[in-house]
Amino acid sequence: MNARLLKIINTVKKNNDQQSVEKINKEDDLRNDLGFGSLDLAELTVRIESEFGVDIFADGLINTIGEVQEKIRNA
Amino acid sequence: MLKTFLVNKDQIISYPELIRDISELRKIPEVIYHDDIYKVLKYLVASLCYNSSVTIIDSDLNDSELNQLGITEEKLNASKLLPEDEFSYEKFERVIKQLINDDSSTRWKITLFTSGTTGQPKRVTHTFKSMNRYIKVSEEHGNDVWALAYNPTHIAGLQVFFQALLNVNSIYYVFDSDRINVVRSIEEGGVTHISATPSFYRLLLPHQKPFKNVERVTSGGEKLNSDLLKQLNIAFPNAKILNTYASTESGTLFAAKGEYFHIPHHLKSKIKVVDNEVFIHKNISAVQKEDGKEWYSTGDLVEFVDDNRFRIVSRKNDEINIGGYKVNLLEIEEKLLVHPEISNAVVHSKPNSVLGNIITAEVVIESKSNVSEKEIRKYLSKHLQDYKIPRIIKFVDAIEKSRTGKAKRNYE
Repeated sequence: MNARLLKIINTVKKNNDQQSVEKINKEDDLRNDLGFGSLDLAELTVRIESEFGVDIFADGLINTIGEVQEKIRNA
Repeated sequence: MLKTFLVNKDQIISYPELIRDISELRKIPEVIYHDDIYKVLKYLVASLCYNSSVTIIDSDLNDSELNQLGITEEKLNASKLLPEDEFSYEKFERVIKQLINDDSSTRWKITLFTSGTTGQPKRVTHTFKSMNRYIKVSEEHGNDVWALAYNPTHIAGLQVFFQALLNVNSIYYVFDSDRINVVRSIEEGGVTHISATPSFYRLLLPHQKPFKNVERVTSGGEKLNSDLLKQLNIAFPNAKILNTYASTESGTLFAAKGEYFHIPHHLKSKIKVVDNEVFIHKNISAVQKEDGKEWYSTGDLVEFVDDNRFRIVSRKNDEINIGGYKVNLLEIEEKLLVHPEISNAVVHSKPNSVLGNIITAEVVIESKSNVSEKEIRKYLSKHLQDYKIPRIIKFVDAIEKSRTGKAKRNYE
């Protein structure tokens, strides 16, 4: 799962001219550490949903990679 | 040589064959619902000849959709017995003459349904006259050859069909057809007249060789932008190119040579524009309003250049909200379409838990192109604000079209 998630994150980053990341940690904050704005987060949601079938922001905003991973695990 | 009535790929039917087939009918359906184009047109002509009103329904609709429209199985199976008297070519010609002269003995009416792009499909009943306000019949038009590029169960297709029928013209059926068949029909069939949506033309163009035999190209149903207009002029060097504005309720209202329409004098009191949206007076609408309102909203947003001239900007439905920003999907589509390596594009809005909506796009790229999603976005970012840029771009072989021949946009 983590490799696929990393790939999605880097797709979003690459498409928006941001530096890609080599790895993700569960404490990484989507906005502060990964630098995602709301448009990026919206895109991330769509891409995660089509890969894992879960809308990570369906019940409110989440902040960290760990929370994303949990959403995916519980899907 | 027998005059051809219809060509549908390998099927060729002459006018005498059509008359013979009609004369062999003992009854005609009250509802025309068929996926065989010849049968649809045959029953349509028969209903006109016998002055028997009909309802016409897109064969694409399934049982539950029919149910929603109030079309029961009983209605679908209902038919009218025809008189025993012989039907002949002379009788057919007489009917055509009556229609041309607007003989009041024509009580024929046709009921159809709007495509429902603005919500639930609406039932609309037209008389021959209300549907065909702009039909032109003359000897000059006797040798016109038409490409029928619209669905014949919707108003634009019916208008093209009647224009051809009243002039006893040949018709090449190219609705929902692949590009090869369309090109072959135009070139080998000697098509002189085409009326279609911008989506249809986008699929057809660019073509290596200009279509020299085409005399008249009409665009309608969607916004014709100046870029496509330019391409049409190149592809059809000998054609007059006409842009039309029509609605299922009122038929064709305006026609223009370019992007800008002007309101003809006789329609001035029947059209009004409020908050940039076009409203049509009930007197020129075939729909009987249940709420008693005098004006119909069309959902078409326009922009005036002077007191009398306007151009279509978008449809009301084309405007969506992305995280509080208003975004016009058409504007994005137009930017995509001018990209040199993109031959067709449609922009969608998809509900999103972060921003309310997110913009996605489907694009068809030129065969030799290997442009990437990232490059397209970069290109768009030179022309559009960040929030207007589609966040998901899908590369597809073709853009799906709706049953009215317009690019199909999903509002999930």
